[in-house]
Amino acid sequence: MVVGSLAEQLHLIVSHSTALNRGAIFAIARGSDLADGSARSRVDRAIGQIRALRGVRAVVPEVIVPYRFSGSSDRFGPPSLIFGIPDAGRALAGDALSIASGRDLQPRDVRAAVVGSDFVAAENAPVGATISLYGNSYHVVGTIAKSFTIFDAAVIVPYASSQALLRQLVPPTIARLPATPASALMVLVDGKSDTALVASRIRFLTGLEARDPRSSAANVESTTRLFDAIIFGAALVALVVGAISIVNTMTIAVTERTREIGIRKAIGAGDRDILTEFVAEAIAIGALGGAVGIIVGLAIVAVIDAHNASRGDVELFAVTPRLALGAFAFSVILSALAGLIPAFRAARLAPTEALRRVV
Amino acid sequence: MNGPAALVVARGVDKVYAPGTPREVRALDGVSFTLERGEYVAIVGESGSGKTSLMHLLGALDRPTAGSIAIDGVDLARASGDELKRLRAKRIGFVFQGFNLVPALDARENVALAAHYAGVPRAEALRRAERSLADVGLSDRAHHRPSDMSGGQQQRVAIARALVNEPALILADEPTGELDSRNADAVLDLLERLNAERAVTLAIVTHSERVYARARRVLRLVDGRIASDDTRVPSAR
Repeated sequence: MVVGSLAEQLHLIVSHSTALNRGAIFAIARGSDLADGSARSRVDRAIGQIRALRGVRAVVPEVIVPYRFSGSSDRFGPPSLIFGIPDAGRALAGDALSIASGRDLQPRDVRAAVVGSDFVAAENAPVGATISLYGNSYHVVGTIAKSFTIFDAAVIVPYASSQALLRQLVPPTIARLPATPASALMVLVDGKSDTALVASRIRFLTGLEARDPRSSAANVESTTRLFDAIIFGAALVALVVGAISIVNTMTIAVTERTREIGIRKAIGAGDRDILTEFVAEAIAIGALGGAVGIIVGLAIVAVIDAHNASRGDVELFAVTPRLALGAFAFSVILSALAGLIPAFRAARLAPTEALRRVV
Repeated sequence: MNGPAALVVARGVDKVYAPGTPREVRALDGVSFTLERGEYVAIVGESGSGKTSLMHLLGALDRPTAGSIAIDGVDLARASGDELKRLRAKRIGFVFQGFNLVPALDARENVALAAHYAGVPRAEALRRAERSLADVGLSDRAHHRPSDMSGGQQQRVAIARALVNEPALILADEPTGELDSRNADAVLDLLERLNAERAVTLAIVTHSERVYARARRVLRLVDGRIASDDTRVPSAR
């Protein structure tokens, strides 16, 4: 249950994040940053070059700056980032993020921020709160609904504000930033073109590196598969242990109640009645065990997640209805199957043999 | 009543355990007798005399090795497993020495269990159970668990369970074995009253003189054979 919810959380994050990045290539400058002052017009030039490539629908510059947490630094999970994307860019990217409370950023906003749900919990920053980004006060105007992506721990600020933060961060020695610095370029591919092909075209441009979303998704998927295999292994161990203990319990029940089986047969029970009674008992044991397991699992998961949330860490577990139902069905079916063998033995017991047993 | 006039017809019945092996035991050896409907018989004998084997046959729990035994017209040697089950459920009521009620069920549910096995729907089974408990004078104990009742009360619940399907034969195995004399008499009075009022055949397997002194017929088994078969006027009480 606990392990399963860990896997569910991972699957949620992977599937949501993959969906978010579908059709978008991230292009960054090779070696130095697009914010590097030594190439003043580098961003504009790169945007122009990429836009000219076949298959490119749009190029959106974005600023990404790490967020420094106020509390403990040993935080588990993906880094919390500050994003700045031009207003037009978010619409172009088909922004999948929805506002949970407050409002989205508006073109005239200054020193305003929209924050992710994990960030709200970690920094106690609901709508109306003031947060500090590198010493600058920002007003939280909205929060983002949980999306199981990197944006859950993110801060989104107006593009111009993010560029100001970037300028503040770059070491003074290379402080001659371009007029419009950016951390990366999000390249949106038109529907017909292949992202891998466009990414390789971008790589031919001087000084640019490109990441194809499909190859990153494939990387992540292979990791997820490994994780699934580990969980399957753990579940297999649980299955074998569970099955053995149920067979054991039911075998003891049959042995202890041999005489009762004889009595029941003497007063008219048939083999099928006995079989049904013992399988029903095994199912009841399984249902009870499953329910208790789910409740205990929920409690453990809740305690761990609450502890993590209080430290600003990400949620590790996702208890989905399909997981709970699956776990319950699994324990019931397992019990029924494990109970079958002892139940058959009970049903086939000769009544005279059973009655001979001492009470 | 279906079948012939006599309830039980046994002809040359042998029961041999582990035949052809060194552990072979001949429990019954050419036993023949007839039980009429409404009879009151005690089956007595030392331990090892074949009492229990005969009781298992009378209860349709087992089949003879040789010979024939028919209960209510059903030949045990030829009947299918389902036919034996039906016979046990509908025509025979068992009463055991150790009461043998299901501990988790209350008195009414214990009685209804026998009706359930006979295929009676639950609501009707519970109604019959209440009627049956009233017959043994335990209406006020219907919702008590066996652990909350005295031995005598438990045995009366067991008798109610044996009665619930209106059997042709009540088979009691040492029914007073675990009861004090007062309760033993009460249980025997009850069984005899049912025998007299309902013409149900009563067969009690026992080695208690108190019990077989009251029976109208005593079948005595010695080494798997019927040593004596006396029909008599019961001794005065």
